[in-house]
Amino acid sequence: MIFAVYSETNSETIKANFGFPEYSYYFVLKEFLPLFQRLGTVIVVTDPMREVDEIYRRAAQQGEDCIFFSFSPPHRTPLGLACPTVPVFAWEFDKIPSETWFNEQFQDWRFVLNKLGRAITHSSFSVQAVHEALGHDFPIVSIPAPVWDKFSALRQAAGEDPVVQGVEISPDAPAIDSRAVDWTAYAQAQQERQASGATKTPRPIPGIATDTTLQIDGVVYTSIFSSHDLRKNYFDMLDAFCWAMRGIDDATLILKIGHKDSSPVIDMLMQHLGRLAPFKCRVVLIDGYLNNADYESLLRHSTYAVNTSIGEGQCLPLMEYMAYGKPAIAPRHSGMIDYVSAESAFVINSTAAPGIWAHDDRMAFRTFSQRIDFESLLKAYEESYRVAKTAPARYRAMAENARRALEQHCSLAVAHERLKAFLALAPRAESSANDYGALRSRDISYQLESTINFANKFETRRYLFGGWSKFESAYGIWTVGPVAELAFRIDPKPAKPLKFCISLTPFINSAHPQMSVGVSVNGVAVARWNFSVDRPEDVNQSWRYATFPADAISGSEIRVKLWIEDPASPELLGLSNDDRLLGVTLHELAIVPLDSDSEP
Amino acid sequence: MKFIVHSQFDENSIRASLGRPDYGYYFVRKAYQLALMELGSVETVQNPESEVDAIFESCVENGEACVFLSFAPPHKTPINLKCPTIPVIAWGLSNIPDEVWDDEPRNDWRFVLRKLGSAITLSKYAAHAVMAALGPDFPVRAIAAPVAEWPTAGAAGAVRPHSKSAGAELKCRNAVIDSAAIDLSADLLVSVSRPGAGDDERAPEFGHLETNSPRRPAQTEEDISPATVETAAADPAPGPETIVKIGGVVYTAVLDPEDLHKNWIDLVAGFCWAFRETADATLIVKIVQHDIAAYQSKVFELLCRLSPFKCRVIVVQGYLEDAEYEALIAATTFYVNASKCEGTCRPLMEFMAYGRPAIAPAHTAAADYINDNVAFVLRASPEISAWPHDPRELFRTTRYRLDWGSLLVALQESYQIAKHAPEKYAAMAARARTKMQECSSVSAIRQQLTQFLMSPEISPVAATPETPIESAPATALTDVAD
Repeated sequence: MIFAVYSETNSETIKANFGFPEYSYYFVLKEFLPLFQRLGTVIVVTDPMREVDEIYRRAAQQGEDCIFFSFSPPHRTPLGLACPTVPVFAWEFDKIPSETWFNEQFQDWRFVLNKLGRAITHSSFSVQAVHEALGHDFPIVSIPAPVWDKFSALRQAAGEDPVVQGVEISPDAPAIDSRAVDWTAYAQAQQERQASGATKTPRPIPGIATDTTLQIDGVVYTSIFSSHDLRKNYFDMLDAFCWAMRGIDDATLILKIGHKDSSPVIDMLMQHLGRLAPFKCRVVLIDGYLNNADYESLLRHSTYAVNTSIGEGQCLPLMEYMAYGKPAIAPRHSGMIDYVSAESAFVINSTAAPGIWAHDDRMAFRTFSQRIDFESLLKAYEESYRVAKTAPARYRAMAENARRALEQHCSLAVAHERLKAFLALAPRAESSANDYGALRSRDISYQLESTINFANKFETRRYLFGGWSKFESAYGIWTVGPVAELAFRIDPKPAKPLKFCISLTPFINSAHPQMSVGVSVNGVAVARWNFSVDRPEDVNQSWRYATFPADAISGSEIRVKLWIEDPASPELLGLSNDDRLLGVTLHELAIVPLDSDSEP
Repeated sequence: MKFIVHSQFDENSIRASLGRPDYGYYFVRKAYQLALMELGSVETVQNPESEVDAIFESCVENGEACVFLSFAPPHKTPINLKCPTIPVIAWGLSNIPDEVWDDEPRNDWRFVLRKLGSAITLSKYAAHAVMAALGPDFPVRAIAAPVAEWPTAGAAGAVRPHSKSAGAELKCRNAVIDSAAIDLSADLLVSVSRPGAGDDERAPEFGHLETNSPRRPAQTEEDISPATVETAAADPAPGPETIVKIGGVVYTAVLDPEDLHKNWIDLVAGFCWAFRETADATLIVKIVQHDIAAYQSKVFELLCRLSPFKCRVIVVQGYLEDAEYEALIAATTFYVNASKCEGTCRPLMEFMAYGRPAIAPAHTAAADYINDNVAFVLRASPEISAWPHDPRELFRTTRYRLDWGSLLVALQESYQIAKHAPEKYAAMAARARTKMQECSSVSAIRQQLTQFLMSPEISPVAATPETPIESAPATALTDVAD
């Protein structure tokens, strides 16, 4: 059996992609490799569309089976390969994506899964979500990343004491220690910064010293996450820690935040710490990729692993820590239901909250996420601290329970059995009796001579295609970037030329005094409008006109593009922190017959 | 007895000030006056610093007791008047400000309250916060702002769990948004194709085209382009009066979307979620915020993110006259509140006084009158927060985080009762009225006020001609050591 395996991020790109969406698929793939190696030959590919079918054909020639495992969410899994393809994906919400947007069928995961016929995920929670969407006969198996063997073996016989003394951690990455920050100076700098109106300040922030050798004593709480992943809900984690431990000087929270550019997030975390100060406890932010030795050292000297997520596909760091024998502070929801319990963790309560599919650009509410009960998080911190300090026997029992629970959950032996069972499943045949991947068309019908008011009717957005900003009530809608598109359908199809009348305000001022806007209809250039501060009477809500020739508008749709010659952002011009590349504001428009007097 | 009263906003300024900090004190003052009128004469002042002491001194001359009730947070209450001053405080957080910032000692409320010697809060929760800061013997009393009885509330037909036909007609001057009248869709929130997908497309050649000038400039202005690209602040004239027909089970919330404690996103999301498939459930959100532009696009975006849904959301803007307000209450089946904290929540009290059961959490001020008998109680637990007027935004206090799942359950249960158990609904409605009569009728509040104002702790007010007011220990507890 040949296993072609792939993740978008690979050993060569991991440093560059660190913390980006989907980066963790690389870590999951790495954990699966030994498993595949037990059952066949593994070939890691980097360009599936080019490589996989070639591997598949060669295998077929030699009479060998070949399956392509793509460690990617369904909407990023290659379709159309001859080689049988299995997506291996993480999912953290109760509903999988079942709609399309951007005219992309693959955004509907049912469309992809129906085509591929089977899948692997990492929790019983996501198996259930897939079954609910595609039917309980859909072949999908939960195989958590098999991390148990490696991490449980790291531990020396009895494990560590819950309270560490004089331990030195010197990660090969920048770190910020709350003890080394002058919070009074920091607060002052913050106030000055607010007073000056600046919202984006580059680091370094005054009053912050960076030191990478840390002497740690007491009870250590550790959490590892990508700083750009808001699902991790790290502000609750930080806020509750500082609130619960504000009078305790030997409790430390270490946040290992990975991302190529963590500085905006570090800035926000620092602001939170500034608002929480004064506190006696200690917070350490470690920013960046840790090598194996540093990663293990951090693990070894942690008392607890912390998770306060709103949803988890599986949470590798938490599994690793628990496999090693570190009890957790974590909620029991989504992917964590399978291995977090009161025997091995201080369980945080959580309840349903309106949620979005994390990659849905529309941010439509379609699924439940989980909201952390802040009070129960405070209690979990307090109780866990008490246990570490005064009940070492209970701590050790929890640590042992964690190891045992994770062995059941993610040992190589368990994963091996599950993968074998998966390989025995036949893919479900693609069914066409469904509306999976249905594209959603917009009603862009327009009645000639009617005026569309973009300043007070939100639903007029349906005529706007690419290149527009948000609806600004009582004002209009800005173009963003070099091209903005509108589309209309006129019934019956116009046989004669039409006049396009539009009310615009350009983004011009003394720093950016001119603007030129080209207009095309269905690809034909029809007008060029100039705006200048020298003609102030032709600027604000200025009506402009273009003629649409009959032969350019004979198709089913009228697609109008505004080509902004030199869009500018208020930020670039030093006017505000608005970084949109603005062209013109659209207020109103109408399309009328060329010979009509009925323009607005 | 003379009562001098003051709130920052008055009859003339309140309409344009809805949603501004402390606007709610105007309504509290108006309500208090109903009870005060029965205890003595009430005089409203515009500028306490210059007016109060003159009135006070003429009262002293006439041997009349006199007290100044300042309807304002302590840091805005004058502390150097000769006239005994009692601040009336609306507060919904777990502790009162006990730090100084901006070199203003009054920002430490303990300083102000010790100087003034007593205080009234609108809730027991706030009274506890004051006592926690100033000692259990500090003279503070929780006295809610009274809610006037609705003359029509007890009339036949007033109990109205739901109407089968589109019965109720509601006059709205400004129904800004009616979800039933617009085509909401999440697709409107993004462009049709992926941004950047067509970036390789080349612009056609425009060089040959004459540039054309407008024939009809719309406006000529000095300032030819907005320096900052902000929405033009609209100060809308009252819109045309429209009649909205509503039927089914009607939920109403009165709130300011700019006030984040009101938690309106949870509220609207909960409603649309619970009633995604229920066509005869309606949510009326009466907005207490005069600046439509500040929130309208947020409401559209939220509704688009929640769509599709079969239920109906109506957003009503603007100040309602008493009769219009009463019509809104009459058309309502349940009042719904999802706040993170409340200093008092007058709309909730007013709807309940009319006989409308509630969906609300039983915390902060609402703890005084919300329970299972009169409401579907939402769960919530503490989370950290900042004092709202602290510009440093430091985490120093707690408010409540809503258990949103409990809102879904409460909405669904309340709907079932309105539709299928009218007798249960009627009993709940009756208990809500009774509860409000007990805790906030004008006569109940008058009694509480009398007790407090005449109590020995508040000796300046109880001053008799034999006890000169000047020597009264108005500042007996003054201790500004910190």
